[in-house]
Amino acid sequence: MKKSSSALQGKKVITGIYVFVLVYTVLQLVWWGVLLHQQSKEIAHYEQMELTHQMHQLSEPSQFMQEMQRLHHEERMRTLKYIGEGTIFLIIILAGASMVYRAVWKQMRLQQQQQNFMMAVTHELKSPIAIAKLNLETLRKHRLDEEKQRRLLDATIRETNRLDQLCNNILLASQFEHEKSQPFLEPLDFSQVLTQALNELRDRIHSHDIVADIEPGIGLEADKFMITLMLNNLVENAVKYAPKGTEIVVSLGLEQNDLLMRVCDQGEGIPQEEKGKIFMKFYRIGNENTRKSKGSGLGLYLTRKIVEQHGGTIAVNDNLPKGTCFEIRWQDYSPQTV
Amino acid sequence: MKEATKASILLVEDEENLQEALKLNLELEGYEVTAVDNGTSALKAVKNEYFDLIILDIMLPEMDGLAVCENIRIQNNEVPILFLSAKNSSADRVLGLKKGGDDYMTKPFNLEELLLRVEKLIVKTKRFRIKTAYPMCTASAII
Repeated sequence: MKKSSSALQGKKVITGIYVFVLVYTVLQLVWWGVLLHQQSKEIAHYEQMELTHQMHQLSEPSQFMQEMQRLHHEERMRTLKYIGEGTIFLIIILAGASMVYRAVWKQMRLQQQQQNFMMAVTHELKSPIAIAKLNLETLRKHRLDEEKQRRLLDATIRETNRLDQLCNNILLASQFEHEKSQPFLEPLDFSQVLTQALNELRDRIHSHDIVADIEPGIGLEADKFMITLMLNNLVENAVKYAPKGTEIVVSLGLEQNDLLMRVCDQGEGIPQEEKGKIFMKFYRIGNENTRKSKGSGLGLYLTRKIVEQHGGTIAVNDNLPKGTCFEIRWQDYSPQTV
Repeated sequence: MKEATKASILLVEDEENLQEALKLNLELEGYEVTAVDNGTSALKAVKNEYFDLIILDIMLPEMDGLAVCENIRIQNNEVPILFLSAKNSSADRVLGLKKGGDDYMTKPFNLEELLLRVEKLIVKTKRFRIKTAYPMCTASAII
C-alpha cells in the first residue's frame, strides 16, 4: 500500500517538474517573440526617422514614398520571419515534449509492472516451496494417520505442479521476449488433446466444476505443449476469479466457417476498462499486496501469444448472466485430418 | 507439558494448503488455532475473541497484513504478532516491525524455528502480563 502511494507521489513529482519545464520553455519562446517584435518596431521607427531626416536629399516625393513602402515591406518580412521561426520552434518543442512524456510514462509503467511481477513471482514461487517444505517436515516430525499423510502428500504434489506451471510460463515468456519461441506444429486431434488436458485439470482442481463441451474429431495443426499450456492458463485464470463450487465450461466447436473455443466462468467479470489490458505482459488487476487472486501476470499474455502463433484470435466477453468468457477463434477453418 | 499449552492462536493465511498444514502442526503442539484467510476476517476475529498470538501473512486479500497489524495496534491491543511472509527484504522486515509486529519470519521457513518462536512469544507475553498484574510475585511461580 505504502509502495503504491509512494510510486503515485513519485509520478506526481515527475509530472510537476515536466509541466514546469514545458511551461517555462513555451513562455521563454513567447517572450523571445515579444522582444523580437519590439526590436522590429524600433528598427522600423529609426529607419522611418532617418528617412524623414534625409527627405531634403531626395529629389522627388515619389522616391520618398517608395522608400517608405520598402521600409514597411522589410518590417512585414521581419515579422513574418520571427512568427514563422517561432511557430516552428513551438511545434518542435511540443512534439519533443509529447515524445518525452510518452517515453517517460511508458518507462514508468513498465517499471511498475516489473515491480508487480517481482512481488507476484516472489509469492508464487515461495508459497509452493514453503508448503512442500512444511508438509515434508510435518511428515518427518509426527506419526500421522494415513488419511492425514495422504492429504499432506497430495497437497505437496499439487504445489509442485503449480511450481512447474509457473516455471513453464516464465521460460516461455522469456522465449517470446527474445522471439526464440517457435511452435512445433503437427496435425493434432485437437478435441482429444483438450479432453485429456481437461481430465488432468479435473484431477488437480477440486474447487470448481470443470465442464467439457467438446465436439469430437476436430483436427488442428498445433503444438501440443503450447495448446495444453494455453488451456491450463485459461482454466486456472477462471479458477482464481470465480467463486468456489461454480462451473467452468470449456467448449470447442464449429460456428459457421470458424473454429471456436470458449472458456467461460461465473466470476465477477472483468470491468470494461480492464478488458484491453489483461493480455499485456505482467498486467494484473488491483494492488499486489491485497489482491484476491494470486498469479504472475504472465498467463493471459502467454495465452494471447500462443493463440497468435497458431493463427487464431482471442477476445474477452461477458458471460451471461455472470462471469467472463474467453473466446479463441480460428477464422475460415478448414476441417483437418488427424 | 509446555507453558504455552492451550494458548490460543489466530492464524491469518490465504494459501489454503499452508494454512491447513500450519494449523495441523500448531494443534499437534497443543495450541488452540483459529484460522482465517483474509484481513477483514482477522480483524473481526480479534474484535470478538482473545488470542495469545497472531501469525499474520502480509499479502492477503481485501486488507494486507500490515494494515491489519496497524488496526490492531490502534485499538491498543498488545497481542503478540508474528509476521510470516514471502517478502524477505530487510525493508519489508523493518516495515513489518515498525507497523507493530513483534517478530518476522520469511517463507519458506523451518518448522522447528517457527514453533520455538511461537512458544517464546506466548510465554514472554504471559510472563509480562502476570508481572504487570502481580508485581510482587515471580511470574514463573504463577505459571
